Amino acid sequence: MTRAQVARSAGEASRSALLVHGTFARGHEWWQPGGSFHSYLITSVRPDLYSDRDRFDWSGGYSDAARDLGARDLRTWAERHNLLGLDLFGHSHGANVIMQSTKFGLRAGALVLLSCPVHVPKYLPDFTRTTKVVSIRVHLDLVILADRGGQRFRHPQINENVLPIWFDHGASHNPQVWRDHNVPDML
Amino acid sequence: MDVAGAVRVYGYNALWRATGARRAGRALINALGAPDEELQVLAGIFLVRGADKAEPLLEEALARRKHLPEVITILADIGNPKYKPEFRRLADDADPAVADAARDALRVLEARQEAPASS
Repeated sequence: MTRAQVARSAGEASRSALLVHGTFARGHEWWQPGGSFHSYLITSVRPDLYSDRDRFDWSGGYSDAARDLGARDLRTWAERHNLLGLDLFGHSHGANVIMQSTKFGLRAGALVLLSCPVHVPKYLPDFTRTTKVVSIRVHLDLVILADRGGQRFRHPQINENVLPIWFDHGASHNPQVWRDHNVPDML
Repeated sequence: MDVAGAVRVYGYNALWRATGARRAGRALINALGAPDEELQVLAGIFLVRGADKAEPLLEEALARRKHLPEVITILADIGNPKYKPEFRRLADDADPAVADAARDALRVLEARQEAPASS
């Protein structure tokens, strides 16, 4: 048994990380093990990023019901894998799924919200179940504009970072953007 | 991101919503298969927001098996339970992406029935 497995069986924080996709993105490659952003994160930022074949996914549906189901499924997935205390990276409404999951009882580590459409108070984390919350986004995100969500958080417990990029919803999961703008230092 | 493409998708949506032009609506269906992932997401959002108006276009795509996982997901988000029998059939589809989408669609419809205020 590895040290991590021993720690997990003792119920300690796992110190692992998980990447969660957003709306209509379940079939996209960038977030999956071997995909562009997943590979970048595991190589350069989080070597402990979850990368087994049974990684978490959700429907990617564009409704409150789909996101709530995703959030409940995420909690169940983490509990079954004994991965409480996971640092969670979520893109777009996947960021709202990870926040909602803490409201449904998931004990997480840090939450990293990538281009998250802001729908407060509907989607905010249970701050007692996270260690910190960081948001990374661009100016005037065209997908968030269509979503009619807010373009930035104004919450004292969410550390907001706006990259000097316009319109591009996918920029926050682009490895080159992370390198060019030193995003790992924002985490 | 393909900003010009995004502006076109916004334009198709405006035209479709304002006039009901089927060609503009079909352009949104086509955008579900766009190479740029952001255009897919924009088209999906606009179709979900179109709700009843989008259903005939989505039914047409369903019959032609066009962008099936996305079309199934959008129909579930719109929330009309009449598609349940079709989703049950597609839950056994040979394409795992289609089968997964159909199984999740059934769960989303069930959840919506339990909480009808959900959008």
